[in-house]
Amino acid sequence: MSTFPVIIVMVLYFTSIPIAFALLAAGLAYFTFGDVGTPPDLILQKFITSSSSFPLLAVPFFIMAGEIMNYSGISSSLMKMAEVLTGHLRGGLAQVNVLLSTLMGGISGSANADAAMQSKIMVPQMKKRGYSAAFSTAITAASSAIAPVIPPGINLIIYALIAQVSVAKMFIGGYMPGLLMCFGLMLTVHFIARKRNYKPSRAKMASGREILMQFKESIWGLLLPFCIIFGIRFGIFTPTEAGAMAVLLCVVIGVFLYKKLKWEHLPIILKNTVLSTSSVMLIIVAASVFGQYMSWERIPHQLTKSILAISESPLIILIIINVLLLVLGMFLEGGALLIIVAPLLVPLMKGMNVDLIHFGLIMIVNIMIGGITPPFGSMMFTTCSLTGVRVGEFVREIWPFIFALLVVLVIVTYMPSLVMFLPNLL
Amino acid sequence: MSITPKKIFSNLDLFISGFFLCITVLVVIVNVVLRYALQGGIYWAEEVATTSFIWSVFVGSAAAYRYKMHIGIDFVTRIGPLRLRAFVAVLIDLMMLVINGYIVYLSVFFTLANRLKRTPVLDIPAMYVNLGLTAGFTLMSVYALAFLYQDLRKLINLK
Repeated sequence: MSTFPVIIVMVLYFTSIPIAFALLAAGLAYFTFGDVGTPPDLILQKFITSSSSFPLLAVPFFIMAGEIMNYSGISSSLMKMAEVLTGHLRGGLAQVNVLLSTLMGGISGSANADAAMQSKIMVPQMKKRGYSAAFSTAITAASSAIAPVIPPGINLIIYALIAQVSVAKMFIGGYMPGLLMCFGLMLTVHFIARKRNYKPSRAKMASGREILMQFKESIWGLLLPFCIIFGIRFGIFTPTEAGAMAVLLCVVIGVFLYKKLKWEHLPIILKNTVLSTSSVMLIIVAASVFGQYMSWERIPHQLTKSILAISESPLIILIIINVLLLVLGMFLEGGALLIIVAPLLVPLMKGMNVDLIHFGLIMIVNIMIGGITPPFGSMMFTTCSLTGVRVGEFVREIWPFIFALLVVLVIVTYMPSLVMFLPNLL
Repeated sequence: MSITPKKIFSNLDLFISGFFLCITVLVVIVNVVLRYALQGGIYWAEEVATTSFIWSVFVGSAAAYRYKMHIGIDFVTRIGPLRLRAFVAVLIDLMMLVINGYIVYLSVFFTLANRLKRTPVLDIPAMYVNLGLTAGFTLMSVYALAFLYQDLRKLINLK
């Protein structure tokens, strides 16, 4: 078995070559210099086939819907909703921060977009109310891990495509882990706020009338995810078309209902969508080129064999995989990790009769924890660079949240009946 | 915000990529609407959407490279003495030039080898699809060259 492409990836990646290019270089090197008998230009067919699949179009659509949401007034109406619901709790604004990520996950589903948006909107407000910058940054990063788990999310779609499972089931499945993460973080905030005496952001609980009024204003943003899921479930549109419909709905809400979305927002929305989409898609393309090398060398098969040699109990293997993913997640961005590792692990899980939906949810919760863990967590970098908090201070504040999310990961892993209850209803 | 010709030219990659993305989105939306309004969709919707998407992705990747938006770690270029950092930056640009240049070279062969192939639905030459690949990676090679020039000057000025 030739392992030199793996070494190339690691060397290039750690000298700061973006992961997509490191994978491309390694894959092409294998087909150019390796003893494979395939002319390297034929591999370029992989570039085309891996990026021209219709189901993958869901990725740019949901990224775009998330971008439009920020300019259409949906984000700010969801923020008011979160404030009305949790502002009276201890550590009010920190609780609003967590709940907002959960609500926003219903449309955008990108952790980094959520982290960036809240670093700009929530953190300055929190600082004004006496929260330390490091704590505000830490809770913003931690809560952004919820957004991709709540449906619809790009990672949920990408996993469903890789594992060939139902997108609708994957979407519904995301709710329970997402809500557990939300609950876990809110509980942690509660304990920290009590210890440090962080005040609520509003004097008393909102009245039922006030909540109802706010609900009426925010209803469009809250309903959108359900429209998407039911549309897919009842075959009104495919998951890909659902993404396009989400774009259409966000535009309609922004233009006609909230009247905030204007033509002048189009260039910036397109720019942000193009940049995020291309960087995700190039990793998908590169991973499929690299995957060609791996299947040529029968690496998935070998890996399955060697893991099964350690143990055949799914319980133990899930521990091993969780630890492995947490470690890898410290070094590699979650989405990229999912794209590279899922094709290796899915056959193994299939062989052990682990439910693939359940496994996908474990994986996605896991890689999101990697995003807030030093040394290379991507949400950690996004938030710290926007708020100016040093990584050292961030780390001191983030660990209770990491601990809470790890507890959620254990629950998600070992209580399949709780997690699988909703998807099994479909 | 006014759109001047200069602005379009200096952001040509974003402009092209955004244009194709709009086509992708619009075609899919229109197709769903027509399916329910007229009881029949557009037969070419899928092919047009995915072809536009290929152009959007590869040209957009070049833009993402220009904006340094590709996912990776960059701690090597942030630590250590300034000279070493400048040297590593040059090294990275060189490697990016080699990787992207090689893909351009391969893509020319690939396009030529498939010059007689036509797409399944619209029956247009597959070359129009494959050229998106060449365009994107050519742009990236050009940007790598530009970065290399900048970083080399920085390295030389440090001495």
